[in-house]
Amino acid sequence: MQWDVCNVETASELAKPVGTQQRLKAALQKAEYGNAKVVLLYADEDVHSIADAISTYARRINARTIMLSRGQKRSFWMAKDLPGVLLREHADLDLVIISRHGHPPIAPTQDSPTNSLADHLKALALVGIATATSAFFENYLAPANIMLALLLAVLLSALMLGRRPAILAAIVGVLVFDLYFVPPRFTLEVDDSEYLLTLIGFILTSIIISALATQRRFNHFEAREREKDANLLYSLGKELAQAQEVSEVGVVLERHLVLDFGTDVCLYQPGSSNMLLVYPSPGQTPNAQEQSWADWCFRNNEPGGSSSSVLASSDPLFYPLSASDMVVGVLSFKPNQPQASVSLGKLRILSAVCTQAALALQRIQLTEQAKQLKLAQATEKLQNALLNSISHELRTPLVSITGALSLLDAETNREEKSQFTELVHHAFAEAQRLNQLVGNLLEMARLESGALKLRKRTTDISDLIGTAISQIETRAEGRHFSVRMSPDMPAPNLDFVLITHVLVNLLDNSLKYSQPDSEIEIEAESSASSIQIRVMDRGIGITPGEEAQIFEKFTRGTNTSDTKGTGLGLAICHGIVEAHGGSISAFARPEGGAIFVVKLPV
Amino acid sequence: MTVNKARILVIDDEKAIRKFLIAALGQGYHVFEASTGAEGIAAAATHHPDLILLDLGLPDMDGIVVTQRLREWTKTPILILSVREDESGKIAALDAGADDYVTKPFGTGELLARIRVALRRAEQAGVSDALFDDGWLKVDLAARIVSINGVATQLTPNEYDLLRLFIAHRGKVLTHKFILQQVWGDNYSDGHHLLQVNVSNLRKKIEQDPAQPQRIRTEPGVGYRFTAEPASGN
Repeated sequence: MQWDVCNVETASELAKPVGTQQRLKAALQKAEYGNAKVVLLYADEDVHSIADAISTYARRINARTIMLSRGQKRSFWMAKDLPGVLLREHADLDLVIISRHGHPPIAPTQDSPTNSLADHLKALALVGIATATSAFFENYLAPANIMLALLLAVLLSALMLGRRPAILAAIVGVLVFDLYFVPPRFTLEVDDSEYLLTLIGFILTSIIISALATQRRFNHFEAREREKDANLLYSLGKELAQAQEVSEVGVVLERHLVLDFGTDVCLYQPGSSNMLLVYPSPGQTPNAQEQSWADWCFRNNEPGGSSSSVLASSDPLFYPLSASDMVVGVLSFKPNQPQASVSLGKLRILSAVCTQAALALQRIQLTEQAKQLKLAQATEKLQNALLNSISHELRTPLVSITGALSLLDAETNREEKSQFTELVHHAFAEAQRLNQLVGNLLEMARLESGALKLRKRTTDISDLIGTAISQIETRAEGRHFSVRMSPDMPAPNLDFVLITHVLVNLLDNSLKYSQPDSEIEIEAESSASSIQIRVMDRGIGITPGEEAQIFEKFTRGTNTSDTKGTGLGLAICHGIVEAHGGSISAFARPEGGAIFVVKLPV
Repeated sequence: MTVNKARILVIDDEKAIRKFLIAALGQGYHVFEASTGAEGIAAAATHHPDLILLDLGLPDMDGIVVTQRLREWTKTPILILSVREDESGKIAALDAGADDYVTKPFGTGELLARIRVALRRAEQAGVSDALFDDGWLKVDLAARIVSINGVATQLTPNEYDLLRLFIAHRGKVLTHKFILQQVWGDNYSDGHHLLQVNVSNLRKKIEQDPAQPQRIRTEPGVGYRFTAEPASGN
């Protein structure tokens, strides 16, 4: 369920004591903690206008229900109660009135009123000036014009000093006019009953004027605040967009917030285990309490701090910086003067500032990531180019050497055996061995550099085993291959070429270390999460204790010294299987020979 | 006899490899050589070779581009020389119209066998047999009847199309993409699994030992090759 909390601000709200305002702020902030969206609505000093503001907002967000706290005492301005107006004029909206039960009423506090004594004295002075001037020109002026001079004093008071001084000026003005200018003088009595009408008119006009002037003052104040907010957000947005580094974001935030909000700013970004301070002094460890709040705020993606109201306390408040559902950092605000106060409107601006800062941080992060990725790609490309070039340079001479030797070998075999034919035959075999070594070395290099890209596809395990056997068949020299497969083998995603290579290496191994007429068994079976392929031979087996070692590169079993090998074949198998997220292991068979087990995830 | 010798064009930038190839092929064939792609294309036009041996790593242009250029005007079989790691290069060359590949380094025996197959295929091009019989598998292409060891066997339409495609291109490596397009049409060019299942089923029907197939061989990472030949006398 989504809920919005509206605070309707009017001129008289602004005139409320500071204590009341802070209580309101604290309440709104609590609502914000509870995931409510806090909005500020502006309305005229009139119950219809307030009801309109509330209902317009409710319709805009498609709200179903409006909850109102039970009315406080009706003020002079609110001749009608708000729930009544809402019910009558906006009958389509559900209205729930909640009691203030459990919450002490906001008691009038001893805070100083907005209008100071000086303002009231100034109002009196204005009336005094008007009276003195009128008295001086009394002989030349009609009483109506004297009335106008006094009205001017009331108007000026309302415009410059506020509602209460204006009302004071009106009351004093009426008294002065009655006492001094209306005959009989120096009494409150009125000879001409028409003057009574004048006095009533004066009072009514004064009240209307002061109400209108206060309204205007409020509108002006509001417009100025909004303009300041807009300017702040505009220039902040512009400067944040230009920031290239995290520290620049911090500088921009600090410049605007210190000035406009009176708060110091700290910026945190996630480190390996907890939040790291990246501004104003990167690397410095924040104190334990601030650290824990920053961490909490990051984990929960909620504003936090030791006090629920930043405004009432000088402790910092922590705001998460989240952009597209990802928290990229934490911003803390700390009032830089004790008792520094931030208005409700500013509080709302703070969250807009946080959004902009989050976007800037995210943009910087993404740019950095893109840069890293590009670098990694370039490195990989270079590695691949290097390996391909080495491969070409090493292989090209080998192609002509093995080719030429194979030709000589084929030609000379027909003649009877001589030293020369033996020589050619061995040279050819050695050239092939060298070739294999080069191939293995290059493959190992590819595996270790991470340049090997797996091309995974659904793989028929039976095809895989058949293909591996067909590749070494010519070297089998009478050894028999028997294949056993469980009938319901799955078709896992594998790189067919590389896994075939693993099996060929294992089979080749079995061929090398077993007798020509022996049997090589291949078994494949599956479980819920993996498949297992076993290659089993009747060869020399594995010396106990060497089962893991033989998969290390350039390591061969201690019992293999009679046979030629590079010590790379099994290491390559290990590398390829690991790249698939599988495992490979070897065991000695109790009845002689070795078992190699390849386990691959399905 | 010299009149009937087939003509082979070798395009490779390595002189040592060209010399060895000339030595290996010289006895049975007329050999021409070219060291760059451009030179090779020109030589193919001048000498009208019966077969072209093409190295994929040429200095002036990619072997795949050379294949494409040649295929614009000639059907001469092209045999690619490539290294083992370069599966994608092989596939690209085959899809561009090359007939087969030999993995470097190679022995003379292997090379000569591939050349013979390619030349024979070129010779038989356009001649379509109505009957294929290797002694075990018998396919009457006219009547669409398949029999194994004399017993008629039922194939699904896709399996039959697959088998007919293999027989028509026997000895030649066919890429996954080519087979999928020929049997299933263009929309299935990524139906790798579909092809794999059908090949597996076909093997179970036509191979003596489906676990170690002798007719439909897998070319890892590239495709399949049908290696059975009609028994002599057919």
